Amino acid sequence: MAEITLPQLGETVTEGTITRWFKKIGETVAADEPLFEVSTDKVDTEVPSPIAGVLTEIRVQEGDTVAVGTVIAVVGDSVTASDASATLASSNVAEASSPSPVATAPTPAEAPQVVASSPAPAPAPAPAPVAAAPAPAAPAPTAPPAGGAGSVGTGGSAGVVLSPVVRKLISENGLDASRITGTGPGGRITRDDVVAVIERGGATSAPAAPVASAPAAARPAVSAPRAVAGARDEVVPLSKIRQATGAHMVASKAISPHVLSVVEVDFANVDAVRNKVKEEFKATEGFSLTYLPFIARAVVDALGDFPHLNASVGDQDLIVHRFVDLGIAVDMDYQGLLVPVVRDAESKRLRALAREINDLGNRARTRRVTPDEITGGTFTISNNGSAGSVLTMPVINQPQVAVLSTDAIAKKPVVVEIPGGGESIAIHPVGNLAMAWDHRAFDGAYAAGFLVRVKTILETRDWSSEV
Amino acid sequence: MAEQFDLVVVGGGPGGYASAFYGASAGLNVALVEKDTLGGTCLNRGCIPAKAFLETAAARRHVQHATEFGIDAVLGDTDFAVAQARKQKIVDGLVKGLTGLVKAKKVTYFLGVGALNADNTVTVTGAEGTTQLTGHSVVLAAGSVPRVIPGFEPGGPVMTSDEVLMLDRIPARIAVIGGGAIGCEFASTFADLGAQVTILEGLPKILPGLDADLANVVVRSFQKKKIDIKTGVAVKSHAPTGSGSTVISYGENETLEVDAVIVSVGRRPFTDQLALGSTKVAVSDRGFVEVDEYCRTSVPDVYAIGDLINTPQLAHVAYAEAILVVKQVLGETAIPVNYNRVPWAIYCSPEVAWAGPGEEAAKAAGYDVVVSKHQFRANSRAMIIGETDGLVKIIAKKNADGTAGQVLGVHMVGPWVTEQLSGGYLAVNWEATVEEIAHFIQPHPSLSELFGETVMALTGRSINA
Repeated sequence: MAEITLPQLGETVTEGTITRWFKKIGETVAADEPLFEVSTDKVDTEVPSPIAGVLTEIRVQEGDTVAVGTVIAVVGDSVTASDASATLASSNVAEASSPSPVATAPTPAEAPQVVASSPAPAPAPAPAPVAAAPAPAAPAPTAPPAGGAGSVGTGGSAGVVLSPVVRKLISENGLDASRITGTGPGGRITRDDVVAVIERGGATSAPAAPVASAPAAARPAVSAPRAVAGARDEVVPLSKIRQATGAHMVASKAISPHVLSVVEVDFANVDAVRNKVKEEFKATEGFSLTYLPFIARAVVDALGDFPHLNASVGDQDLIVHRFVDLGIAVDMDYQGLLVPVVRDAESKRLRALAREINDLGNRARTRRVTPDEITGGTFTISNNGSAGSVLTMPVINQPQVAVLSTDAIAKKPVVVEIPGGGESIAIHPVGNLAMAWDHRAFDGAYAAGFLVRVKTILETRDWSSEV
Repeated sequence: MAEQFDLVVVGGGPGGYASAFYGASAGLNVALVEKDTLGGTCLNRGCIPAKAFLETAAARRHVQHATEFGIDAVLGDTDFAVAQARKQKIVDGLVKGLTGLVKAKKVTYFLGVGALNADNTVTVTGAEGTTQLTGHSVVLAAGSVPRVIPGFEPGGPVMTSDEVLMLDRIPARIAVIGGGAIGCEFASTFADLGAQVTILEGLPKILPGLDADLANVVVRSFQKKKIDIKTGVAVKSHAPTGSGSTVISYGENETLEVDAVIVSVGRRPFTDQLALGSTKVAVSDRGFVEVDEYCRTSVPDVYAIGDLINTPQLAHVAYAEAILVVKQVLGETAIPVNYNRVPWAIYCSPEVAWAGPGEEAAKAAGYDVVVSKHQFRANSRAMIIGETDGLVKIIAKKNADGTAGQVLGVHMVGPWVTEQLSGGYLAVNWEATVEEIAHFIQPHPSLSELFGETVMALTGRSINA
């Protein structure tokens, strides 16, 4: 028998709304089979059952919102659910599938950041300097040695004993106890542990009202005409993700002076290689090789030459990131937008980028990304071309300073130089790369320099070495 | 045929009976093995009897000072046999209570010596032969016995705590060898009961390890009681006089004739009858059973707790270790004991109690500290009860701006401080800052106001100081 708790969906997520149960009481669920869907302020996600068994109890009904760690259901083994506790006692093994901060295996703690790459983020109150402090992965080495029969129980997050003052400190700083490595006995979180996280800049902003943190200025005129639904109107409730996206977009426009710069790119050079390998690629990788990975690769390389685009604006400074966490905006069949992040994109070649973009995209569309996978990007690509637009001015994903829209690539007549001299008109695949950027961070010449660099890489690099 | 249990506990002292009762209350089928009397050292030969005698001493002190309160009382003789009988009644009552709990909680009790076998079974050797017990888990809680020093083996005028607590008279002249917690409690008891007491301590001061400010208060109070404290002296031998007294040789050819020698140089783990040699349970060269922070020995499912392991020799620590172990047996989340922050209590007069490091220890641990001390002599309740010796001392971390931050240690010496520690204990273990606790209210008039006052002083403000 196992109690199913609302899992830790991400470090800034403290609660979630159960939107759907995939199983009814009495039905059998396999391990890793989707059990319920949970909606948080960041993402709707399907949560698989940690164990196989029969769903014996549903404690949180659809539509109810509960805190992370709350027991929401019980999955029993198919034979007897009742004598399980006796089994537990005598087997002396805590088969804790629920997340336990005390004794779980080391989990790399991503930088606890204010920043959400998703357009549906925990609000970014003014571009936080915190964005620059990627905390080092903090393993949780405190799990006791497996002496006895691995006998140290892990009773889910409810088992974490925190001092009231430590609990208060964690809560006041918007931190998540399950993400803090405790150095006290048995991995207990001490006051010093929390203070250390705060001093590292790990304070995650409390998920307060999004717009409140970018007050007044955020919506100067919006307050004027209030929309009232009349008899001939249909009122469509805005989904959580829609509202969150809206709040973030409003805040972003208030925070950053947006400027649009566009270059037109001739993709004939890319196509020369892409057409040659695409059959083989599809056969070996299982998905099609699109233009997007090429563009992503060119962007990552160009960011190396123009690092100020891979940055965040601090109080008196520009915080330049020495790594590229590349966000890729993914449309979820008109039901919202998610921006999963390819971590350390600067270390990945074309094929690896393609795989990761494909995987994250698929999972985002099916709502199987975790909130951590959609937070903390440093630069974002929005692939509007796949929807058909030819020129899009995207909105910056705060606290980043630029976002690139890849618009539709279509065959167009272009002037080409004929080998041996002279010019001619040829039919080439051509598309726009449109970038909205933050004028606080740099000026137009720098932005244009970056875009031209991306264009040059796409048009001249010998891509055959990368595929 | 071996009897089968979830948990077999060897030893019926605080660690053992706490394991048995806590486990039974959680539904485990428990066997408890004790060779003598339930309650162990603490109840039968330690804390409880010693405190009972300290209370006899307190009663005598009250009578001594009764005239100051307008009571025309005359201090008569002390019949120690009565005190002994009273103590025994208390002990018997508590043992009876434990016996009742064994039955109520359906713990299976075995009277006999428990020894561990290589296959984790336990052999109980009792008056009626041997019994084999099989447990899924075994807790070793065999406790400790007084250490002795060569040349001062118990017998005649030489006694350890075991014999002292069975005395039916008050020796006129007493030497206490060892000025630790136990030695100071005996010295305080017998000095208050009218004996001429000398403490012989090998180290440069009594109560080594105790914060110096607290130790100094104890020393001054002891001097008022006419206790002779000789530190930095080693005892060599003693020569009985033939008339019941004996002459101790110590230090630089010095001698001291006394009617009783109380050897209180600590306690050693009592592994003697556990037969660990035939098992893989590791024992350190100092005789302690080796365990990790979860009290797990080197053999799976065999735990050791209490005085058998190298942790503070306190009954309440053994209780905590018992719970730690049983939770593991149950497969629950278990939180190790933070030994740096357990509550300590010495019941001499004046009492001493503390949690967390003292000033020297905190500095040695690398902390920049802010310290505040307040004396009981200005406390209204202390004046009312007529016991104004003592102080409260709080050691807090120093913030970058010089102000006091997290409370590291709370140290108290004075009237009833063992009962006053709990607020300080919580502050230390909750890792509270002085600001976080300064706004809490203490009753007035009370001794505990001094704790509140000391905390407030650390915020830079004050009312009564």
